[in-house]
Amino acid sequence: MDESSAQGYSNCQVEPVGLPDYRAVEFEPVAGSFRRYALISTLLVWLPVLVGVSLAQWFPSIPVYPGMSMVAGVALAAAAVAVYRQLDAGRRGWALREQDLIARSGVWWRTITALPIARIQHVETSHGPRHGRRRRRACLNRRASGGPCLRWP
Amino acid sequence: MPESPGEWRALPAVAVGALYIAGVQRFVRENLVVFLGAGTGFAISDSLGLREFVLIALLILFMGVLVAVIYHRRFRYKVADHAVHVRQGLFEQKELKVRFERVQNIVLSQPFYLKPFGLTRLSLETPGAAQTEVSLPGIGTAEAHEIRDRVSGTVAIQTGAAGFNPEMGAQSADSTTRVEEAGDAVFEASAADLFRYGLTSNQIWILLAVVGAPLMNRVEHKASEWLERLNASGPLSRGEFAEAPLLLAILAGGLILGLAVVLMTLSGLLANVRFYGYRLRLENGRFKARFGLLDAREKTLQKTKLHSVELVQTAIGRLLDSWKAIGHQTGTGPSAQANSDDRRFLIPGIASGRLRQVAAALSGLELTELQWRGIDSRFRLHRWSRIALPLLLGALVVAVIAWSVMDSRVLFASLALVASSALVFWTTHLRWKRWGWMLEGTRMRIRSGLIGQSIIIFELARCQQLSIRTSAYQRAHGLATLVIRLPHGEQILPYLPRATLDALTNQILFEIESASSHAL
Repeated sequence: MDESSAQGYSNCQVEPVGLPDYRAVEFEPVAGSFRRYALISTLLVWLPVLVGVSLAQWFPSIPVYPGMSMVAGVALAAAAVAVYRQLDAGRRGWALREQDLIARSGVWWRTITALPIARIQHVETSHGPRHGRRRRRACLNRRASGGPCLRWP
Repeated sequence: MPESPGEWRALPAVAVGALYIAGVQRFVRENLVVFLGAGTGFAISDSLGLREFVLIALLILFMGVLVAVIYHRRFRYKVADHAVHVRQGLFEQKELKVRFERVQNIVLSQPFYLKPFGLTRLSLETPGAAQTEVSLPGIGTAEAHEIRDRVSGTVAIQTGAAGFNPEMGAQSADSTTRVEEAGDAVFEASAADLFRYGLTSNQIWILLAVVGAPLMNRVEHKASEWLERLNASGPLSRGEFAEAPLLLAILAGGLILGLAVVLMTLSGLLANVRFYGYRLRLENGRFKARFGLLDAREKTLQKTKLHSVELVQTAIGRLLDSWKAIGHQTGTGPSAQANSDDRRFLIPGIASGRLRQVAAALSGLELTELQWRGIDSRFRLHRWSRIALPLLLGALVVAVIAWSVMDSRVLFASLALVASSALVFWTTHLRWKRWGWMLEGTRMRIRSGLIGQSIIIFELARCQQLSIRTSAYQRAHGLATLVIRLPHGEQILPYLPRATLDALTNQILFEIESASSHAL
């Protein structure tokens, strides 16, 4: 054993093919209740809009498109978002390796994000009624330098 | 009797003036855009008489001085062994402590109005702070230099002076070496260099865009009055102008060209005032830039705090052979860096012949002419098919309508669509051609741009996070987009072949994770 390896230091050349492959990880799905969370949060956002547009039909002074077509349009958009979020919930996954955390999301535009653990500046968990506090579900936010934090439900 | 170090100190009495001016500058900087952009300023100035205007100005002056006096009375600072402490606040007293090793940038600034009093502004910037963390708005120049030397000296000793290539734990430089590359300037900008830089800078155009709209209203108003007078008394009538559209076009073109020349000249002169006598030196592992005519500034940046170097050449800069280099430090995000030009370590007016020398000094990397690896040509194809082609088809439909209704205005609309489509084809091609990357050992270079270009050089180990994004189109063709997050913001490499991207991702992750220290 030479002196450098005796001190726990080595600097051998690494072949690119020999590196750990991020694609080899098996993703864990997010909590089962995430689908319900996605549905509730979508409803919380879209329901007031839908109610507002529906009520606007009763006030002739507010210029909206005549008939129920506006309400139907908003309901359709809300349904499309809800369906997309349900599909997205099925595709979301995460994997923890020794040195990094890998997250997968998206249906049409898919994203795989690898965050080295050594680069995490702080970790924050948040849980509220929407997350299902009683079921012990939470949202994990991780921040590295140089941009927005990686949020994981 | 001079106070001993480690005691709370107050700012000198004359610093009230500095505080007042700094406050006014900050107020103008933060509110001028909104004020002028909305046209409110001109609307108010039109409706006010001279007496009201003077009264309001006096009231603002009085309030400003009052605030400055209270702020001055409550402001205290202390330089301890390893940290600077500041107590400040108008209504709420806040105390801040910044340890020396957290400081990444030290700025000394001496505007012309502080010079007679022998005062200097000292600012300390730390990674991740959205704004300057510690600002001593007016202290004695000798004291400012002493604080600078203490802060930067400590950093040099504690972190070593290994520079841009810190090798993350395998730093070879002797960490206690206080004197290394002192002496020769790394870069000096002549007046001609700075004038060229001013011509390429977009700041004057941004200012014009902000004040342009309200200014144009006034110009239009004045021009109408002038034309009325000319019509009433002069040899030329308005009707003659209307009958000579070519003359009118030449006059308007000449006016616009003249305005552009005046603005560019102004921009060149302003660059000379701002960066007058620019000189960059490397001393004890610190970059030290000195510049400024009306505001003599000195910026000190630890080499180890520099995580990437960006070389930028704008479209006009390409014509004039002028580059600028930006030393990126850790920021809170891309917007924070982009909006705060003062916080960036900027080296202006670099001619191509000296670019290698500057890049080598900043990054420790020789700018060798290696082969850039491009992005896939489907990037171009995708944009053409999604943007340019629909525009072309729209132009065809509009042309058919124009032919059927025999209306020349509709034909012009069709021609405009064809021109837009051609522009999209051309710019997409340029963008695709410019986008490239290369790996040089543990460093990476990414080039992007349109007519101009930007080259960013960074250590792979400095990356913070990687994202691989794919659309359905990209998945169908085995392509993906790599988003590399650096401490100051994101770099994007779109449309890479999947195998190349995966190998690159694995290598970057390896470099980050095998580095033994945090790259901030």
